[in-house]
Amino acid sequence: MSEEQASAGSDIVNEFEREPVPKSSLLGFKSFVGMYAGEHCAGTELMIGPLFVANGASAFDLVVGLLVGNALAVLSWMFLCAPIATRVRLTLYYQLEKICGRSLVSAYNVFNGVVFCLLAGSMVTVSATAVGVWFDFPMPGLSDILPNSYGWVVAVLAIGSVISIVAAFGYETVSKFANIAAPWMVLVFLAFGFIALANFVEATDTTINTPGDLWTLANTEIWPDVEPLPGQPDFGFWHVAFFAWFCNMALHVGMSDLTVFRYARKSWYAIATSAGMYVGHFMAWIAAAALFANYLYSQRPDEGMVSLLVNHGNGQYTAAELADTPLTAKLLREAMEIRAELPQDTLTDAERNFSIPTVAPGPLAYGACGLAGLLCVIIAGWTTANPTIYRAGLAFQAIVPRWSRFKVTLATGALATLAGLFPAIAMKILEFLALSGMMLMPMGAIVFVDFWLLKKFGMQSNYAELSRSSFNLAAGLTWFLTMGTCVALVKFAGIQIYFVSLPGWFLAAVLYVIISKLYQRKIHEGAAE
Amino acid sequence: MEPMIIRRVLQVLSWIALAMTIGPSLMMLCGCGGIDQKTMQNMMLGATIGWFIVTPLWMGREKPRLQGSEPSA
Repeated sequence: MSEEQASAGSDIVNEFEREPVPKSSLLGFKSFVGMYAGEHCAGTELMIGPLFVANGASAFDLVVGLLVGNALAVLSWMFLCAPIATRVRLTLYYQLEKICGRSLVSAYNVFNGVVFCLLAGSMVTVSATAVGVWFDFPMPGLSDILPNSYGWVVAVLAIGSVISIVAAFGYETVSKFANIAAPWMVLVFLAFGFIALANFVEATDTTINTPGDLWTLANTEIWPDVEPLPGQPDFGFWHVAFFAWFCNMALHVGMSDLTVFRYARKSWYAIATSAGMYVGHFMAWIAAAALFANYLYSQRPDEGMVSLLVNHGNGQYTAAELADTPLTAKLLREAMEIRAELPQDTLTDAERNFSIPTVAPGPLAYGACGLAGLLCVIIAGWTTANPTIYRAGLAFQAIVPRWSRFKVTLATGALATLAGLFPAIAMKILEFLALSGMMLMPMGAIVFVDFWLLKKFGMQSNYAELSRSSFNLAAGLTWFLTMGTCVALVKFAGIQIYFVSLPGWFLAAVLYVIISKLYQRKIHEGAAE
Repeated sequence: MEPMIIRRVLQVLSWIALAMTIGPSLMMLCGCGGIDQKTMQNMMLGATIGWFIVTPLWMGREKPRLQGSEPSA
């Protein structure tokens, strides 16, 4: 295999880099359905669903929140991204270069590349949890930041190296394999949900004859309205809805998918994204959430926890009761509080180190579907990490085009592998996705305002191109000020990261209009003098 | 055998493998067939192996043309 083969895989992303897509190359509706359905059923879905449960989301929060959030995501593709894509038919990078100038686009590329690297790292983490089932090393916990065992380090390095080398050499081959795996993978995800549900039906001795029975089971046993696991944020309906809306914010509101929809004959083809959203971000998340709920339900407090609750508690529990009680966030919190209050030297080893459930897709999938489940985790992680590393490589390579794509992709893969060693990225993937969307979102607002509004306000669109500037100060300031304000809102005003991007988008739009007005006038006055 | 017929046969086998991937878990949920989790897992593994052996033989490959047929406009 050669470097040329690797570059051939960039197909839809890499063609017509600096020119509008010609009519003869436009694609039909079905191409977009297939692409989105496959691309949004990834290894990370097996982290996201369980994290909703760990964060205490109820059945209503989860089901209705995902229905609403995914609908908003599809509408964002349809009404923000695709209308510009089908009118301009340029890649996001080229469009941004015209608006922002080459230097600013380079900064954006570095940001984008780093985000893709970290995301690929979390996919490597997911795959490594599957290797853990075979080699039986301890899985990282929900609050772990650093690698927790040598076995974990070796597994991540091994998987990351293979993925990186394959990404550098054979994007095309993995892309074909991903297409073949996609229908099977979707059904294995669905099977996760069916098996979890079957286990709940059996464990609770429930009979399901109507959708109402199913909803009651979901509300009372699978995802009851409970507190989150210790150390996790408390999720409600709006958290789930906003997360579903904004987890792909860089793609729709952030306009990355201009690069994809420039091939669409009509802008309404963007409704095809619903295939990805409702398969990957609805069905797969709910199935993975059911699987984790089933795992929690099957767990019982261990010896150390029972000892803390029975011997040092307020007499609320007996050992016999606890032996038959599913592990809940409430029990965990109470045991942790008791442990923190007691002098450490009075605790036994078991009390000091009682086990806390962790979100590990490998063991979860293996428990439900056996080897087929384990293969699904590895393949889902691998097939999605591969193009992610490749795209990160493209973003970095755009900064210095003379760099070899092979070496850049390999180095990017090494960076992603390094990121994968730290379980914090995967365990905090909800926050990470919300944060990365917030950081890339202002550029989408800039593209939107530049295309639809600037001329109406008497200003020039594509100002960097017209003024031959390599750094449009108005766009640069808008980006940095919006990010700064959003971070300040999260840090000091108590707005959670999941919600801050919505006001952030309007702020970016207003800032870009105001700063452009000042900046373009100043430049013109300078030129007139 | 005609390449087109071989392709069709392979496609049918792939569909069967897909059905076998999801079918056992659905049967377990419905409580029909008395299927337990271990049997279901083995059936899923068999279906997985079948899918990955058969599907690459036709998916993503050029469709064979029927003898004498002309490409349509």
